[in-house]
Amino acid sequence: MTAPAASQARTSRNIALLKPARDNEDLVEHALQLFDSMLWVFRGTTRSDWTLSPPADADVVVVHQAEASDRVNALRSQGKLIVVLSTQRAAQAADEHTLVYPFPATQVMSLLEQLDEHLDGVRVEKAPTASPAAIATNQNTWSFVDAVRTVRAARNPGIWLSVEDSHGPVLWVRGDGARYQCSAATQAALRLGQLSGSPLVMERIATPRAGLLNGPGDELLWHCAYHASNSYAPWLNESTTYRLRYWPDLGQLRIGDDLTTTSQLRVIAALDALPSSPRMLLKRARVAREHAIRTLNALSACGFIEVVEAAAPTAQRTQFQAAKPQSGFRQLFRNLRRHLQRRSGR
Amino acid sequence: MNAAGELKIVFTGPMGAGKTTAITAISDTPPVSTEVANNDQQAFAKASTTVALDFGQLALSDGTVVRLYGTPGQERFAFMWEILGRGAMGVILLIDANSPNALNDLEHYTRTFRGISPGQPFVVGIGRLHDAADDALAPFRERLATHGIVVPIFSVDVRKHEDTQLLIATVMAILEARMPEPEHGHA
Repeated sequence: MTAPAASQARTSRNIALLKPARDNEDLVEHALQLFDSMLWVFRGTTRSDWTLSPPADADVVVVHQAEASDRVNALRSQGKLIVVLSTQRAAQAADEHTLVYPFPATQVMSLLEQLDEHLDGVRVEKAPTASPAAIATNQNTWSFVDAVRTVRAARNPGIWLSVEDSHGPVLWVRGDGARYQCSAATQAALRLGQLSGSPLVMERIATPRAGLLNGPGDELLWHCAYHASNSYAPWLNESTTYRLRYWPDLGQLRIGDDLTTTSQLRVIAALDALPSSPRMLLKRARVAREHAIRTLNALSACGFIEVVEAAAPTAQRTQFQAAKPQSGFRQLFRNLRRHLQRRSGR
Repeated sequence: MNAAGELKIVFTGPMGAGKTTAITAISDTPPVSTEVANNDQQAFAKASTTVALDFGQLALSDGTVVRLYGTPGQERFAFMWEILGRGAMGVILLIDANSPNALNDLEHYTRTFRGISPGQPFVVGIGRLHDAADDALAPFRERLATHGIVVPIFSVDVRKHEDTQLLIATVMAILEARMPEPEHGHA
């Protein structure tokens, strides 16, 4: 999966979720709900905007495997693309347009981009600088973040999932992604971006073991996304304008490193002052490129930012009624930061 | 002392929210506190309270002094809020999450201070939050969102220097983000 091409204009696509007429299984409902949740989560992150519509207006119709074949054939004959949701856990995907529940977010996003290309009738070239190996690495890097985002989108607080590396379980995530549990050592590793050297796998379990630290889901997702990569998250578009929905709780999320905290504050404050594209934000936030990208990745993974559809607004400018320091505000802030750091002994 | 003509950061909030504690945690010099015995024990069980203001300062190496003011927590001294708030680099509101009036306090102080200086950086620190709640800050964010207000709201323990430092650092970041672009390079 690659980030959408920056220069492409956004188009609108209609998609219909067709509930089977004869099947009232809970699992079918869950599969459709999961797909619906993912569409919501992906808003603004895919090359085109996907909007739910009735089947008659849809470019793509999502059906359950139990759907009557004559109904599906009728939709196909109208030129609609069909995505099939399968709820048979042991089933293999019959083709690239079949999703086996519980399907991962990365697969759905990749499928939406494929469908988009198909609808365009144009094959979008992969970014020339990204070798297949690099793409695979990026996918691995983001797969755990994507998995946690999917769990949050599914909103199922009644279950717990264990997250395992090659040595066994390392942490436990509640089924709505709002809480996680782990040991103090794992939490420290999470905050430093050293969670695991091997791929992480999620599995459903009854309950976490006793005696673990209990933390909020934002903390898990924030640190995983922040440390995932110094390139943009796959769902971020460099030329799309984002605005801050609300400030993350840095009282909880900061890691105690002044440089990182200052950089994060600058990026967030810059977005708060003026909705910006990532490209524009890199210029405005006045922090190292890597810090800006990592902070944006974390903000977007946790849902603290959202796409702005309207024309770019103008920046808020504070009318300075405060006394002006002789050396200017920027010098004052440099001195004040140094002073506070010295006082805290760092 | 002309409070409007100096570099200052104001700490505000209801009685018992931790304003004196925050200034004590961060000030270079022991803060001057005008605390007296609390004769309003029914409203708030606290031995002493600030009746005029708290005052601390940060003396920087180039001789610049940033003053830290804590507003009195009792409503009858509310006339002081405007005197202190006007001309401040930023206002830091402290709220005790355990107070039954926490949400009303948040709304009251936010609307009052944003009425005094609408463009002024405004940062909220929520103390004594219950860790086990899924998103303990959500009610505070939502209360302000109903008035279209989005400001930084952080969980803090103002007894800790680094938590009070975060609140001040946020005021600075907001000011920087709203300043015109510099003509040359990075600051």
